[in-house]
Amino acid sequence: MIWTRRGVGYLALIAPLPVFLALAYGVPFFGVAGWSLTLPEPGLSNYERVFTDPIVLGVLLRTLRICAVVTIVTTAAAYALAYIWVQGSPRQRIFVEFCILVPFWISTLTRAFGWLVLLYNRGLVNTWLQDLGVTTEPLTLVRNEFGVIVGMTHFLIPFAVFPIASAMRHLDERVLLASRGLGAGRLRTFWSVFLPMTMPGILGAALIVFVFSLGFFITPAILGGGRSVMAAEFVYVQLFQTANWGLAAAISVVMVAIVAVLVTLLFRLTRVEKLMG
Amino acid sequence: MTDVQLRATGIRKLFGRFVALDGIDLSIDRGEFLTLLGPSGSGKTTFLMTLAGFLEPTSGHLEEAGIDITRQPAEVRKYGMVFQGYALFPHMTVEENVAFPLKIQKIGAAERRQRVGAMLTTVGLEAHRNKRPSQLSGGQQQRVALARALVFQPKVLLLDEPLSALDKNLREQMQGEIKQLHQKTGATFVFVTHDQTEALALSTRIAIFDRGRLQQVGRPDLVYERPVNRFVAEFLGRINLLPLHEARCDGGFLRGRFEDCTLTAPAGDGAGQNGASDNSIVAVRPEYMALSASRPDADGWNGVPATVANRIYSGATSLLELRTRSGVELCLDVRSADASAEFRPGADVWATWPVERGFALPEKSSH
Repeated sequence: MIWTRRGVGYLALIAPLPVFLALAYGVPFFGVAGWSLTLPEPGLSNYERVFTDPIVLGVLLRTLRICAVVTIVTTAAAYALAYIWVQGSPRQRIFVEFCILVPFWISTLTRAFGWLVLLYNRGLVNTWLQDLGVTTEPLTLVRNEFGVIVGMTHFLIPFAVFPIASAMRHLDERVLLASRGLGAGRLRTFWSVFLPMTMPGILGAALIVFVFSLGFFITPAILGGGRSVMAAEFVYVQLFQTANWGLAAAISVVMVAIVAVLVTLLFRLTRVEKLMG
Repeated sequence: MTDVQLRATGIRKLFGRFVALDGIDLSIDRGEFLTLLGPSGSGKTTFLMTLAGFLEPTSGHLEEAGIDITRQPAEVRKYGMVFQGYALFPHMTVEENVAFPLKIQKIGAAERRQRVGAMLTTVGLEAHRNKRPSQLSGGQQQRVALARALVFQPKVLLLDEPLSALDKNLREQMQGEIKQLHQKTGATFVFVTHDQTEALALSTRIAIFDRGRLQQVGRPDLVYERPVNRFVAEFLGRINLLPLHEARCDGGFLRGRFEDCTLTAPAGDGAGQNGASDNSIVAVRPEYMALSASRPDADGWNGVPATVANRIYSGATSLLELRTRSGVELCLDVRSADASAEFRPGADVWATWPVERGFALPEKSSH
């Protein structure tokens, strides 16, 4: 049936995208996978290093840890924002829209340097804290994991707001009224009805944030200051500074595998959620 | 002896400049089945939401058993509520849905299980207790919603168009079940619908709303047989309206000329004194009209000459559409087995009815 004239026409219309994706993602990925098995010599030695070398393992674990924290903080903050966006007064909605959209117009680099200005030892936050007498010594807020987490969270919140807000918008208002009519106060209604019913949106947002954050490069490079090195920056160093292409390729393949496993898991979860809904 | 459970006094609700409710005074008796009936936008759902505590009236107040509850939130009033579209919790099983209000009231697990089980048996869903709402049919979901709203034995059950999403057969079956639940629980039911047959079939009293105002409240047979204005008369079913010239009130009867005939109807409660009357329309339900080939000569009958315009056969009954000389359209229901069903379009006939089956209405609706 697909080979009728009309079928061929439709195929021709959708073909450019899969062809482009195959060329731009598939081919390079298999190339990288090839390097990981052949450079500097054929074998699994690069993968062996990924899972045994304490430095590489340290970077991977730090990456997963930072991403986990960023995911939790971002999703929680985005949930609060989305709640005001969907349920708030018109003025609150406009304010939230402003907060979500403005960061999109500012480049990653500018935002990272912005945080640096705010958070470094003689930055605004530390100056104020000392002027007000809250602290005597400057706090180390950048060039560590804290700075990286702040910068990444700030970048990722808008991406998490959209799936959560969509889940909140599709929720039938009458279900909330029913809950209150049955004697549940606002807080109880939120915990027993609103939160579980928007859980698919939360899981979707968490997945997007986690996958995005795994590949972060600029923000951790600037706010981590070479101390809190994450996987993407480590791969960059292996490629362009130590010329260790095989190891860099193996780390990349492992990261792709982690993402693939996570995506599969989450699709399973959301399908279960849909069955419930 | 009636026992007033809820009393609304002068309830007004504005949405911006739109007047949704315009001074509603209504008392609801304990244990009655009151239906709020009206077209969409008439204010009936707004009034129900005010009773539930989801909307606060702009002015006026609401009392329950003599205590002012105007500003009391819904979760404190705890009236059971059944919504159009059921509003079940999709992430809970049938059993968890029904147990929800009992959990809120912190009723122990053993008693909870026993009461949920009894309630599910009442609505015939014990076999589906572990299913999710999405796995149930519309009628089953509606039963879960009823069970959930009744399991904590609320004093008042509010139902917002609960049957409008169901197909006709199921709707009739559910009407019977709701009526039985009302008798079984003894709770006060307040039911919103735009379907007048549903209202007539279920209620002990009907309150008819139009454009934010309460038009009439009363027993189903009274509002149907003796509507106070044209809106109520027309909303509750088909009606023939015959405008009179020189209408006068005389000894409890309204008399006047329609075309070349003199028509008489009981003047109704509104008309007190003899003399000129505000009422100038004689109204007759189609099922009380009969057809004959000649002018009725018996006393106590009205008759109007007309021509048969159309005949719609619908099994047991037939609907005949007539037109009088001045172009007023009349319709009447006759049994298909009767001789009068034999009149064909074009036939000249007399539409007749007993004087006491007609009633007087004012020219304009009372807005």
